[in-house]
Amino acid sequence: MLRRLLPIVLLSLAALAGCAEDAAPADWMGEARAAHARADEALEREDRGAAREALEAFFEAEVPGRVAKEDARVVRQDVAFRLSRLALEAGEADAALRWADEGLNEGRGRDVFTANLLVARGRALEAKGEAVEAAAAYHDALRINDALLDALFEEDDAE
Amino acid sequence: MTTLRRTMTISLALGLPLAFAGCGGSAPAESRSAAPAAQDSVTGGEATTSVTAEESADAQPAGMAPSSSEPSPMISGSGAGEEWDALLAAEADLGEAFETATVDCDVARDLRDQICDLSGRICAIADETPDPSTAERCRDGEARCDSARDRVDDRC
Repeated sequence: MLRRLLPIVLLSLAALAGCAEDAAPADWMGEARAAHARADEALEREDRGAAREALEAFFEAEVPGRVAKEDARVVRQDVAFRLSRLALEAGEADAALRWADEGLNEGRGRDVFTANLLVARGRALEAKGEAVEAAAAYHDALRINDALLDALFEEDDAE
Repeated sequence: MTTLRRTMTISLALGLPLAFAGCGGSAPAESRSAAPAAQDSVTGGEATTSVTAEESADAQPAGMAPSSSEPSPMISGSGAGEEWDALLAAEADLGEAFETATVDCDVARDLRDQICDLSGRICAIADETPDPSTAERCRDGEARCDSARDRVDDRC
């Protein structure tokens, strides 16, 4: 699902990066894209530490005031999800949980970004042996996906 | 057709808020109001639909409104009949394409799989723990998984 949306997100980021009228949000989106690219490159050479550093640096950087709140949320949630996954793959369940919660603290929407973070939170909790809490996170993610499926069919019916 | 439209919808939902945030000269508050509305269109919210309907009504050309006066031709001059026929034919083709459109089944199957995978994970936890709330989540997840399977099977 996320893979399917990624080109669209990247296209949007590219559109913003090419827009000169309002440099601050465009620059910030460009930084997000660059951070993901640096992480990709680091992972290709199996340097997970560098990948995490690139993403963490972006996440810690201040969001320009002119970036819309919802736009900032989904971009930062996407980065937090990736950081949580990298931490879990490194066997760092506490860090994985922290990144999942950092992402969720940005706000919750009925979208794949929030659902992904809830799954990441569930996996981190399971790794910590907190299975019941993990099940609650999985269930929240499941309900979002169910709502998205409903929306998909409702949209089709409306057409 | 539908895949393209769905892609456009998602592009609008994700792309336009981001693009407006960056390219528009608008204040942040305007960008914020645009983003949730666009997101609603992806998640099935009603905000975008109602706005669109209102805008559509407002935007209707005066010449198209019911009137007791005789409507004047929109196309005049030599060959107008053929152009009008071509326009009607194109509109009919478009309408037929929309009628035969189907839901984006790749996305639907992804969502169904995600729902059922999560349901399976929850139930695996429920099997290992005596927690009643987890058992309840397992039952709910299984019901949603079955429903998702039925809905996707029916439509895809």
